[in-house]
Amino acid sequence: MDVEDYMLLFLSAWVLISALATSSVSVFLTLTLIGLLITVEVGSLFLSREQKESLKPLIELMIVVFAIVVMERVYSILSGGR
Amino acid sequence: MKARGASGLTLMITGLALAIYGFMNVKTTLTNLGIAGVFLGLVVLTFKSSDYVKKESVQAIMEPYRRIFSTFADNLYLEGNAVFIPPYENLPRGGLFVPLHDKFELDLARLDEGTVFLTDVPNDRAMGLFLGPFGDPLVEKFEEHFEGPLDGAGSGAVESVAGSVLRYLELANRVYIEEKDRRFRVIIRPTIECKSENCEKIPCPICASVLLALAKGTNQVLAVESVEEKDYGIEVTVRKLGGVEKWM
Repeated sequence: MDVEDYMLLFLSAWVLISALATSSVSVFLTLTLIGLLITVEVGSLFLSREQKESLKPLIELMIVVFAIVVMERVYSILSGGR
Repeated sequence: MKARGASGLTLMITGLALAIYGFMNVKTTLTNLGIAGVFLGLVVLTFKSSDYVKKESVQAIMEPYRRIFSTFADNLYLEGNAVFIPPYENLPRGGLFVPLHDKFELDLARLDEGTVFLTDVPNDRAMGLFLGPFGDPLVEKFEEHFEGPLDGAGSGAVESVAGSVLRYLELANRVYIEEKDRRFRVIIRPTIECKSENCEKIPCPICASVLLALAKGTNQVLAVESVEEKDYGIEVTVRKLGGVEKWM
């Protein structure tokens, strides 16, 4: 197994544990984004430029999802909901 | 590569089905698992790994070239050691020059990328063999990783970026550069088998790439003094000969 495979293994384990341990989709998506950012940052040394470029849209998509989750949370607090 | 693509697609399709099923039946864990499947499928598809060739194949391909260059150096009676030239107007990618004599002079104004044997010089001390930007494809990879040109970036940046890229490409485990007075001590531990034979004159592409990047990063003409095989790797000592303008 090379470093890429270890990175993929770590991310898979992280995402699976997050999916099973959380009872809310928004928390799971946030944890997934954190896992992805950790993987890309720690493993950036072993990723080629093309790999980093192809991962960028996925990270951007996850950040958009995270922003929606945060906005929803803020809205629910401001409107006096849970 | 095909197996990776197939597993990525399978993960995505299964994940999507699971997410829809979980959403319809209000089962958060199933929805999460479905989204996880789609996400991991996307990651697997984007993590396309590079194609590999075996280390022995690289050695087998490189060996005849090494022998040719070694014979070249012997038959042309080249007494001088390799001189790495940083980029300038005539040589935008820098280059490697092997002087004919041990006590040499550089006539950089007469060098360009089309020159091989530099003989058209008034002083025979300036004669020699020019091998162009030897190791340049790896230097390009260093700059790709550095996200900018290495020109004047310094020896520290070259050490860091060359070490990272060569480790990633599995060509070397370690690159260490130490500056001492007018010299640099460069230690490279290649992962492929290395014969330090005539390396002072024509180094292998791995060592050449580090030295060319060092010349570029420090804007100095660098003359190889010695190449020694030690327990901790290949130790190359290079002497700084000043900037390009000094030799014009």
